[in-house]
Amino acid sequence: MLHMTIPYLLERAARKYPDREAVVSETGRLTYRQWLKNSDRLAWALHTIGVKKGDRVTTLFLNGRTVLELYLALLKLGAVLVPLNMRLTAEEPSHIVKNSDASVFIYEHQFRPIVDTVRRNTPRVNQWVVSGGEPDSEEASLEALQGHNQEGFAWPDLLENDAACIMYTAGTTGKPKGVVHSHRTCTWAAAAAAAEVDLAPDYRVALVFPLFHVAAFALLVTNLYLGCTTVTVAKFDPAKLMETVQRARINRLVFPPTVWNFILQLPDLNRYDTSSVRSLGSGAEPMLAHTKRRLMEVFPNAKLGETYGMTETMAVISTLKPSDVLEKTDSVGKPFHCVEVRIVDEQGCDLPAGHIGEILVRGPNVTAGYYQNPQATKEAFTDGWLHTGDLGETDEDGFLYIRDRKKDMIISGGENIYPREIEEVLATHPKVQEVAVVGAPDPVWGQQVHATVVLRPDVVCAQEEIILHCRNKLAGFKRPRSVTFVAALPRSPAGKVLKRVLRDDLAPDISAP
Amino acid sequence: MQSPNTMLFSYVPEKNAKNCGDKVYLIEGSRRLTFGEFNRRTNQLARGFLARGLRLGDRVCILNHNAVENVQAFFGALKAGGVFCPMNARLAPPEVAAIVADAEPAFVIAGHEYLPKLSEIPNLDAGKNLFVIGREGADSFDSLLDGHSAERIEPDRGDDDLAALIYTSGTTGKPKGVMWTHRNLFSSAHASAISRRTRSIDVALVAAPIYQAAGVGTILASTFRGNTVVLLNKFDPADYLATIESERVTTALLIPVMLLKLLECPELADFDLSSLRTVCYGSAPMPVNVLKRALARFDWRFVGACGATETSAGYIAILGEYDHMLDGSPEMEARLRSIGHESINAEVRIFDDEDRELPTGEIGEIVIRGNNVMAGYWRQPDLTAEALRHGWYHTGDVGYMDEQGYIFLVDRKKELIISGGFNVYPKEIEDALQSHPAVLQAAVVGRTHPIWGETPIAFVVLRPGKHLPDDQQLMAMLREKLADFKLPKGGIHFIPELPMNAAGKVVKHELKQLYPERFV
Repeated sequence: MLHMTIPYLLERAARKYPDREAVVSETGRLTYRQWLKNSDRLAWALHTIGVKKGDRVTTLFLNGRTVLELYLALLKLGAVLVPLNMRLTAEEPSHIVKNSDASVFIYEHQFRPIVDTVRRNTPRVNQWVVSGGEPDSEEASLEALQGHNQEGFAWPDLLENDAACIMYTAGTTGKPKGVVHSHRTCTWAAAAAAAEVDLAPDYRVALVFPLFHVAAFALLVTNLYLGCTTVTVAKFDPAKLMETVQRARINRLVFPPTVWNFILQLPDLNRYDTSSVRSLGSGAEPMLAHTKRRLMEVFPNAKLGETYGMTETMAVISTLKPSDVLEKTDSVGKPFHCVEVRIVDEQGCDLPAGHIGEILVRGPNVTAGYYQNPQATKEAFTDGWLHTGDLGETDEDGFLYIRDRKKDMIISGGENIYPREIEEVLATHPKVQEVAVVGAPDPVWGQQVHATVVLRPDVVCAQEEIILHCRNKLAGFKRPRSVTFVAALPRSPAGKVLKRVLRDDLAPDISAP
Repeated sequence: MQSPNTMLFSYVPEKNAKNCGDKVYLIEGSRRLTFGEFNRRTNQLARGFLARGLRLGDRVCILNHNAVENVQAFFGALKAGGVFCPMNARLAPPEVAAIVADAEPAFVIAGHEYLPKLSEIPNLDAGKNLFVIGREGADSFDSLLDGHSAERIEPDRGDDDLAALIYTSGTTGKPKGVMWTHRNLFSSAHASAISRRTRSIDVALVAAPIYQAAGVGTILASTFRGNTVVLLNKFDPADYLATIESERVTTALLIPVMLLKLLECPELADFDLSSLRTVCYGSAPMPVNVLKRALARFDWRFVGACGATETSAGYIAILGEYDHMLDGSPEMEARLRSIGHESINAEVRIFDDEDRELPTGEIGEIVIRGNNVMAGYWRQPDLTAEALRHGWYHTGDVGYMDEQGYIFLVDRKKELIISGGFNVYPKEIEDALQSHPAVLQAAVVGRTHPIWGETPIAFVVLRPGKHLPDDQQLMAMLREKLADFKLPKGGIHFIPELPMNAAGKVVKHELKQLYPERFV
């Protein structure tokens, strides 16, 4: 039986399209043939320093040619990627390195300050490799590693259920958990996207977010699956991105709505030639209809689609097709064909359309579990289904709607309150730019509704004004009892609002107005 | 407990029922079944099978023309953890008996018209292990469902468990059951849906028999996409065109002979065919002149699909819609002669006789690996090992791949004849002819045929003696033993001796030269 693995996808693309541009980066270009050749050579080099099948290898890189060659080299050796988020602070990077049992750490020179703090806490790492800079006495240089096809060397047998990567969840809830994805779950997520998202083998697709994002990693594997050209962007800057779109003739762009908003706020958007863009994607959270229309104006040749997914599903659960984007504005679409979704009540019984329950998922892209965490694995996978922790419902046409995170639901005096419902009302207040609603502890009601608001620039607003706005729009128990104003909402790297942080910030003695 | 990433194909009706329960799924004449009804009925059927003793892995054979019951039996069997085994409805009674003997099914389901074909099978007991479609009462197909719950049912199966057994003719004359696993179904339906660029709103027309890989594959891909499927149980050009018009069909599967007949249908201009968007055709062997006529005549997107039963519903190669948009260049036109690029979830290479890969442009055997490649031949480990040696399925087709990855067929290593979309092996016909006492030797080869693509032609050496049979008498005898599509429509020709090589083997390509003028 053929094992569909990520290195296999590269070999396949290199056979099919040897001279097609595979990677376009700030530091050079690669055809598929070159990508394969370079990554093989790098794999031999990494083999000589002891990297072998099953090793967890932590990586800390911005997008570019190097990380793409490195990833394919590591995967071909059977190593398991542990991509690290460069924006994590304090103990988090060390936690991930330790939790993943990583023995090798490979990083880009500019992240040395992070590495210096990590190195003190991670004695199990026995090999440090730096790229793009001078190694210190304890390190090897990635560029200096010499690889050649040694006598007797054989690539390890790579099976589809072998682990390919451990993606640490962004942590909207609790400590980061390592989600293990096999080659099979990655390649099936790619197959699903290739089939149902507006993509084609000749597309030039922008890879903007670093590869520790599951959406970015899935995008990379999908590009390999189809043989697309991956145009990498090391650092996100709206204006620079638009220049790249124009210069590199990008065909597809994917961002969460918050990032799209950054781009749409560019003052002179119409000076960019966006005619090459045929396909736009959005995910992580629903996009406002207004934003959708603006995007369609800015990218007149493009169709916009949305997807819903999570780290555990390699970013693939459901997709809203371009034809439905303006019809079913707040839906996340229908499940991908290879994915099945159920909505169940607390007892695990299926709920009919129009009833809110927990979203369960099954499909060949679903993770086999959390690394070294049987408890979390057991909780998430009851009865052969992934329990997403998201609350949602379907409509009569089978479209899926995310109502909230299960953990974000507020229970006040025995009533279930879905913060999103309140957020949608508050977002219509003219002075409100962004809002997030969480439950604040309350000695009488258990929890009370609390709103955290980002005001539009240069406006003044009292919390009473916000609360009054809900008067005729929401039932009494759903109205916020308290409001705080902040400059910005805490967000995960994927753009999701970190409600955990908001809840933690709420002092237990918060007083009602 | 199953992992949440198991790929069981039996979940698809459940999902469709949830997504579009009230949408019509199957149309057969005036019969219409929604996704919701279909799902409930297949749940009941699965429970019916289990209540009557079906165990995991048991086969359910069906002998019927294209009908909604066939599709129900398919998913009913899968949901019960069984294996669906459709039989070619055109087979002669001895051929059906041979398959049943090989598959050893727990249940046989048959259309009532087909009961006579089961007459030679021992131990079939109506109402116990035989159930009849189109009949009332305790031995009816519907009685399997009676009294059973329509609640969801999950088989305890894994990716690599058997899901379907599809019989094809064997080179040796013995039937071969090609084993399809859940993985095969899942990944090939997925690949098919991608390469045919189907949409969820598509209405698919299936006139190809759904006991063969092409027909079953279309059902799989359409079901996977949540499409409406219109079943026809025979191909009549005017009726076919009328169905496209009345059901607003958007996608269809055609074998070359069907396309030719549509082009030559006198009423062609009388129908509104504007709903039809994509036509998938079996590309091997599709005569290029027919294809070019079709491209000129119809405003449809064409996709050429080349597969084998052994590659399940997932194809070997696909000639995509853009490859059919001719720009007048000789390169593009030459591509129409190819079977296209390797299929999306598969990998194709060209091997020499020692299974070494050949460079681009060199001619050798076409081999394929991928998630759509069969698990093997049922209870034939030697044949399986031979066909799947070194991890590749050896197609028996000889061809080459050009610089752009287009694959061209040149010849066939196996003595397979493909007549009107059906596989025929000369050995079957030769064996049947040689069973006549007056026949000393028989050899069958394939000849190109303007309508059927290919057709068998038989050469017979008679024993010396009196009362020798004529060709009509031999043909009548063959009709008893063989399915109609296997009959040598190129004629039965008497010759004094067969051309033999030094090893005593019949030199078939010399036979092919004997009557060339008749079939050009």
